[in-house]
Amino acid sequence: MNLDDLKLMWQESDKDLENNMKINTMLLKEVTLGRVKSKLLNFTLGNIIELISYFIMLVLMLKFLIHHIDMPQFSIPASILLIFSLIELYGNIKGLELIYKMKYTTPVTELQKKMHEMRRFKFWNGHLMLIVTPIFAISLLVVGIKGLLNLDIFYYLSQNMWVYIITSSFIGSIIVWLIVRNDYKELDKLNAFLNDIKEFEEEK
Amino acid sequence: MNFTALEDNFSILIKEHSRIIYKIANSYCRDVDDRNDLIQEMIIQLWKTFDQYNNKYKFSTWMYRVTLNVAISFYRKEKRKKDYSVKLDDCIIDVIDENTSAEVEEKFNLLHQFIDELTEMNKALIILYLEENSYKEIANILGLTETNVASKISRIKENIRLKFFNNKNE
Repeated sequence: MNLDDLKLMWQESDKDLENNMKINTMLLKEVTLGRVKSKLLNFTLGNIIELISYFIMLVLMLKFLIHHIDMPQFSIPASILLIFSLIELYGNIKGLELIYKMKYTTPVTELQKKMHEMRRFKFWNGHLMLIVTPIFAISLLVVGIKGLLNLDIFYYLSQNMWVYIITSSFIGSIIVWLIVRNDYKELDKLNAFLNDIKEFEEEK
Repeated sequence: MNFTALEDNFSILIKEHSRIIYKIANSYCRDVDDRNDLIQEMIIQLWKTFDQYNNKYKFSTWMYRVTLNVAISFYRKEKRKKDYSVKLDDCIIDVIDENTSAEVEEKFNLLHQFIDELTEMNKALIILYLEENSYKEIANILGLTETNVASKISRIKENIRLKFFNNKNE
């Protein structure tokens, strides 16, 4: 048995398919009329809402930071949130840009590489949010209460800071443990596939 | 071209190339439901990009790119999570197996046993080779150089030879 024998088998299956194949023209029409939706990567309303939310957060943080620049108890947490919003906003814009530019007519290796690099990027972008949640939560609390209610809870928090540090570290550890336990396999598969593509492209 | 003409043209081309669409889908998804979903997804993407198709180039080259890209993406998505929701009662391209002889069935199984063992990218390469595309066309569809395509095919040939030689000697 060699590759030419397999080629012969492949061609033989053509005759069989020609006799047994039927096309559902009604369903084909449904596709052309846009009544059947795709489940692959698409520009979704969720992506846009997420993008707008991060943009609003960025503007609010910037405004808050300008007004409290001389008060480190507010300007420091606001800066943390500002950096975080910037990273997330950048990640979302980059992700949407890649989805927008992605065309299934692109050569297979090129598109698969782009698509899976984007998935890896989205993986890190999504998980960054989880990992920084404990830090983010304290900053959000300080800035949010000051911004919305004009109350300074920093003083109270600084008195009990060790409780918050322990709680945050505990929550952070659980999140990291869950990510490593459940999602690392997904990241591992993504990396393995990207390596496969790289090897496939290499001329040996 | 108006919508009806575009739609008619698309239907004709899909009917002409349905055999290839089915064979690619069948090589990536052996499960019937998944395969029907994949065929549906391939046709959606072919339709979505149909207005970008330049008829100066071969329709098959464009179609291979779209269907293989969809097949690999779908295959990897399906492996990640089995939650593909849109289930149609019927499928766009269907095959009635009634007339398939036991001998043909056995050959298909052997062929797919070999294809299933390949990585997603090598699977795409070998499908294009089995479809009798030239090295130049394969290189163009996959985004590789002709030399690379030739060396990969000769390596796969050697692997098959060794595999069947070892099987015979066991």
